[in-house]
Amino acid sequence: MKRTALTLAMLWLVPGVAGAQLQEIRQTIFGMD
Amino acid sequence: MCAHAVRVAVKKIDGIDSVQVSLNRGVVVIRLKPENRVTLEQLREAIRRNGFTPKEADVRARGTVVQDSGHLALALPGIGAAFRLTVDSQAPATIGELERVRGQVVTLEGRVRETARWATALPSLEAHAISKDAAR
Repeated sequence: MKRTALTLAMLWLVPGVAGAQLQEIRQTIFGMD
Repeated sequence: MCAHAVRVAVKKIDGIDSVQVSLNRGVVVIRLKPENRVTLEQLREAIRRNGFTPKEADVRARGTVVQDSGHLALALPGIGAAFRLTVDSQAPATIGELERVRGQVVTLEGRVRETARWATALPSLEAHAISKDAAR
């Protein structure tokens, strides 16, 4: 929980950057067919 | 519960450009639109709701390398997300390289392991490629 609080605080301090986000994901899945 | 249902569920999320599901290979390939606000957990939740378990993911993400309580992290403040950065020992990317780009905007490729929904720690991104791209 402490880690989450620190991270949220850190995010507030980082300026937003245009185009900063996830771009592509190859997600492995396991399960029923 | 099938590949089609997963594709439809993921495509419904705002900011998704394309989705390819291959049950033979056990992989969902998702391309996201510029300026999207999609999180990895959002995608994983859509996959879980359709009866599959998301395992590791190979991601490409653009963000700012920052120091978070003694560790390097990739911050994506626009989507309220961050990844703890680790290094793949088999890859050329090193902690030293990450240190040199601290405070800068970079595009990282790497692997995010499976994480529990209730995990409070940051998910780790095992970086294997770093590129500094000031402009898109």
